[in-house]
This record gives sequence, structure tokens and C-alpha cells, in this order.
Amino acid sequence: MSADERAWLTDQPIDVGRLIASARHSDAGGLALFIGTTRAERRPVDPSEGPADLVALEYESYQEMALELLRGLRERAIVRFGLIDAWLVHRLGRVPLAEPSVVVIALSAHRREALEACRWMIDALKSDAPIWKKDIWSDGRAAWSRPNVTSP
Amino acid sequence: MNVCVRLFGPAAEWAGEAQATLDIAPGTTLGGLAGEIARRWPRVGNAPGMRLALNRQFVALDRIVAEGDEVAVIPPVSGG
Repeated sequence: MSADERAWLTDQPIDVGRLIASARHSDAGGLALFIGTTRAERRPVDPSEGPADLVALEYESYQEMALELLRGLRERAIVRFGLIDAWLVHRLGRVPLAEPSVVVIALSAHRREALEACRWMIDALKSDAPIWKKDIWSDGRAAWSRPNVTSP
Repeated sequence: MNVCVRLFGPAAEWAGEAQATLDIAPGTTLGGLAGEIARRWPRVGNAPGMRLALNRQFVALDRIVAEGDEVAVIPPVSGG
């Protein structure tokens, strides 16, 4: 996958602790972190059936564009919010319950910019990144997830 | 003039393929190409919320497509 060290895609579990450890900077007064994880769900896969349990999400991507987009979001966030640095990592493939699928980190001198940038980056990623997920159910069935609601 | 069109996510399933080379007239805009895409894959054309990317960027539909450009059909996304 990508060799870029601040915004990348991976097919491996995301090592959040290692990411945080790498985000140290003596000029930073605040680090804001968002982790998106696979949330359990219980509902019918088909309206005519009884409920089934979600066991995982499975992500696929237009990787070349997603990488460019993640890198672009990072650069825009750094400029817009005056960050010291930022990280965006998205996992592809199968992500079981409670495991991270996406991690966004914003590092800044003060907490306000870090928190605002973190939110902005994940919102923009969910709105525009060419990434799609499938719900994986306990009976093995897979179905495309409902698309993200995008802000106007 | 040949243009490579890639399809992703549900769009690839509905099209039954992940990419195709379309022959379009020089001077065709991205919007015009959208029409060609809808003709070739009606189920993709009828689906709401589809976007097109040109060389990995979202651009305006009045942009003219050049030979060798990469166009991608981007269904409503669900990353994160």
C-alpha cells in the first residue's frame, strides 16, 4: 500500500497506539483523535426475514484517488486550521466488530484547532473519499452499506 | 477518441464490469460522457447520486475530456 507516512491506506489492523506515539511534538499543546470502528447491528438483511447480526464491515476503494484525496485533506487541514501536523489512515478489507476502520489525528498548539480540524477531516473523508463498505452478516451474506449522508 | 472508464463499488456490480474503453468524439465534456455511460450501463445511469471523477479529481461536468484521461464512476460513498 501507500508509502506516504502521514496519510495512507492499509489492509492491516491499524496500530492506534503506534500512531499516537509518532504524533509527539514539543510545540503541540493538543492532539485530537478520532477512531471510526465497526459497530454491531441487528436487523433483517431482507425486509421479509428475521433479524441477523452484523459481524464485520468490508471496505474497498478506488485506491489511487483515495490516497490523493487523503493527502489533499491533510494538507488542506494543516493550512486551514494552522496545524502542526495531521494523520489520516483508512483500513481496507474486512474490519470486525469494534476494530478501527479509520483514524484521524490533528496536532496543534491549542486544543481548539485540533478538535475542529479532526472533525473537519473525518467529515470530509466520509463525504468524498472513494471508499465503499459492505455489511457482512452472521450467515455470510454481504450487502452494500447505506451511503454516507453528505452535508450540503 | 478512447477514454478509459472505471467503475467502483455498487456501480461495478450493476455494470457487470470494472472498466471499459469508450470511444467518444473529441471535445466531449464530462457531462457528455456521463450520457454515454448511462447509455452503455443504464442501471448505472439511473442510479441516484453517482459522481464522475476525471483523473482522480471531482471536476465540473463542462470539463472537456482528453484522450487517455481516466474517468471513474463513483457511487455514493460509505467510507469511514
